[in-house]
Amino acid sequence: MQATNDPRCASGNMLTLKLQAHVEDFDLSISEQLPGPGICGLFGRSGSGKSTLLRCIAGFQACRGQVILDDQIWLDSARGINLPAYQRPVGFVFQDARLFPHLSVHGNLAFSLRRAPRPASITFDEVIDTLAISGLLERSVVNLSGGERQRVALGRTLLSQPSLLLLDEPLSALDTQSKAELLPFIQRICDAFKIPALFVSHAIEEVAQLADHTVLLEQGRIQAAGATTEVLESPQLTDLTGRTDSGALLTGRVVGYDSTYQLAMLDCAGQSLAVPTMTPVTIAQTLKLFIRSKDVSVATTEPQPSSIRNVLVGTLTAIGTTDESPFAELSIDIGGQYLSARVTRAAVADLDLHTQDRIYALVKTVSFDHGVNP
Amino acid sequence: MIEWSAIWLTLQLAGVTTCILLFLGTALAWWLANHDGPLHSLIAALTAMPLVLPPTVLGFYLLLLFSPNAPLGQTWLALTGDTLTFSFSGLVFASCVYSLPFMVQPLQGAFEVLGRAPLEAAASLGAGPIDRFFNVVLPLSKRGFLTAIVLTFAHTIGEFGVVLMVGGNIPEQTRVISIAIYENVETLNYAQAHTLAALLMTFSLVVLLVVYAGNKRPPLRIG
Amino acid sequence: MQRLWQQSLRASVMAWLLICTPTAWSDEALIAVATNFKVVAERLLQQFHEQQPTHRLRLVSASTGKLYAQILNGAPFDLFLAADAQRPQRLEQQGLTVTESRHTYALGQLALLGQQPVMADTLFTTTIHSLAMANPNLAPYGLAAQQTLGHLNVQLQPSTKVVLADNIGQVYAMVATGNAQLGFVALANLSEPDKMRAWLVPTEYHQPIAQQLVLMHRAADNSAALAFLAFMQTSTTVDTIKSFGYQVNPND
Repeated sequence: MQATNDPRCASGNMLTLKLQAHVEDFDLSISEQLPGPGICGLFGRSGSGKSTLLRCIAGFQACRGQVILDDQIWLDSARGINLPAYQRPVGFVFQDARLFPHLSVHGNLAFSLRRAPRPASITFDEVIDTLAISGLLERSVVNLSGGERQRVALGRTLLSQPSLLLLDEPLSALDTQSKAELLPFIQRICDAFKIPALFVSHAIEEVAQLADHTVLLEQGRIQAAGATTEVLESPQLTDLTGRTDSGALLTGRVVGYDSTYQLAMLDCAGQSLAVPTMTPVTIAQTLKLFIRSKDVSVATTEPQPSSIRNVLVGTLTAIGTTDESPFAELSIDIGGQYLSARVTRAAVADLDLHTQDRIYALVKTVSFDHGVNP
Repeated sequence: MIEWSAIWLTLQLAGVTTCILLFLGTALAWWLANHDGPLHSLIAALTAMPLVLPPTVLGFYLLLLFSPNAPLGQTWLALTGDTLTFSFSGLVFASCVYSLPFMVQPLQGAFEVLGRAPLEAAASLGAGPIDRFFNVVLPLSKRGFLTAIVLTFAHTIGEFGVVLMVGGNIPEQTRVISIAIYENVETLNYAQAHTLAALLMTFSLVVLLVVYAGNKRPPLRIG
Repeated sequence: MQRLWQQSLRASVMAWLLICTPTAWSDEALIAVATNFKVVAERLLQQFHEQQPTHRLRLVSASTGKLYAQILNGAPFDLFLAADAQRPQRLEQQGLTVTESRHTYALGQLALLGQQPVMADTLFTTTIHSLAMANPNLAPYGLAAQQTLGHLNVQLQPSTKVVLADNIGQVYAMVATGNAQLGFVALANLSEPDKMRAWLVPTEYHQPIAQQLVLMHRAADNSAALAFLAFMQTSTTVDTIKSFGYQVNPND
């Protein structure tokens, strides 16, 4: 197809999408240019068209329009170009891994490598190291755990030397533990091999953790697109997901780990947060935390000791109310980062809250686990 | 005195038929498993017809079809100088029709169980259609193929009604084992009939045992 | 009014009795007939029922060999009309029949039918691609055909396919559908146009194709069976049988 196959040399990685597809319940209508590199999150409710969109890009789903990565034209209906899936240098990671049961782990990886374009810039050794699967090589695929299977699937996809990675809810079928284990691997491979990726999920925490750029999809149409932090705070998200998923993204740096209580100590815009975690963390590691507004309470004075350990001080920057709802959405500035809290309008009145007030935000979440909430 | 020529002829017939149907049946089964539409039901029904038609009915219509007065029979006569009726080729043709569903249906089932999932995975890894067929479909449908081949072979071995109509009972050409057994029974030659029938029964039993014992292991699951 | 009521009551009681109670003054019989004679037997039954409606006769037809096997295994036949002499003979030898009941009821006629009109010398003058006959091991017509070929000293080409059919009816199907070039068929199978084109094989070329019947032991006192047997000897019956293409030798 193209001379330069090494995705690490790719510059720009602009993915142009103009798609019209008709699926069972709705029509997919997309027109967007997604910037690379890095991970672009595709978020939306079940049935919003996320997987369909991914499948259109991969070539599994019939659609009309354009799919162009930089200068590679994969689909252009106007010009009659429609590359079949096996000719598109797209790596697809499925929700159910889809490893070949008649081959061992090694066999699955070899299957991919054998069909990859030469020269193979992503090597076998690199992949098994990055994904820590060298111990699994001779194993039969059938008895692997969910997390192991997905790691092998990731490896298999990488060995096909893709120019674009499409991850279709790779964590959805896993239990919480496996999810937490796998998430950093996804981060790792995108960093190490510098392949742009589209990550589909219906779990906001996953998108929050992994994606720099996020696209919000609903009913086959893009509702919002932009930097993840902005999209997550946008009103469209609240409308879309209802009250449960609205929140804010906080970025913190790990400064310590309390092994007795299994707490990670984070420095977040100068303030400290104690985050319970079951998976180990490394010092100086950056973690993104998605904190739902419903999990944040506010106080006007420093609260008495309670089970809530995380209290952040900040300034109330906005109070959002509507007459139709008993709730108010508060926006709090924590040293440059923003937190949102949902309280009742009655509480706002009782506490006599005004913007520019100094406010204490009490964050209650049982476990963060690298941003993946239970 | 065992009629070895009848046995050998029968094995040849079953072998040739199975080979031909392996190609024909795989293609047909693949089409049926992967395509939908108005034609689908018709083709599926036609493929299943030999299952429900009495063999003598099938044989009768083949008799008409093979006749030198009919287009097919005429063409064959012109091409080869021999009639389709009363010939080994005619038996092969008839057996292919008679045993078609036994090849197609297990394969179709295997292909449907396989589904699109592994094929999409293979395509995403750069495998083209032929590559996917030989390296993903075939290995994952092994059991289906085994069943189809074994059933087709065994079914053809036991073929009687159709052969009776279009065969002509010519030794070393169309006198197959089932015809020989029948004749022995009709002429009260029970000893002979016993020998041949016992051979046939044992063979069929062994074949079926292979199929069922082989299928006991849990099927491979994808993912 | 009351009289009408009485009369209809009596009539319905009589009818009810007739339906429910087994009648002693007429009988039932089950007749097994070889397939090739089935049509004739049906006609004869029809004629018989017109004359003697009180008896109830039913027909079962299959190949002679099958019927024979069934009888050996206890099939409840009262009369057995075979297509050969061998099976009735065997039954008699095994003591399953009423003594002296075995006799020839019809003589089969062999004919040679082809795609083109057939004459006495056709077997010698044409290149024969395929010649069909009933299996001599299974059917007396086939044996007769074989004997005819021997009698005429026909030398067949190696390229000629000698096709053996399961029964005489099948031979006809093979010729009629154009698959067999020539075939030895039963005259009884031929339609009028067929008869014009076929060659009737002289009966002296082969052993008589004697179709014999036996009265089974169980029917020794069966008035229906006995009545039908008697009916078979009448001249109307003989004429009917002949009209279907069989010979009847009244002296047999």
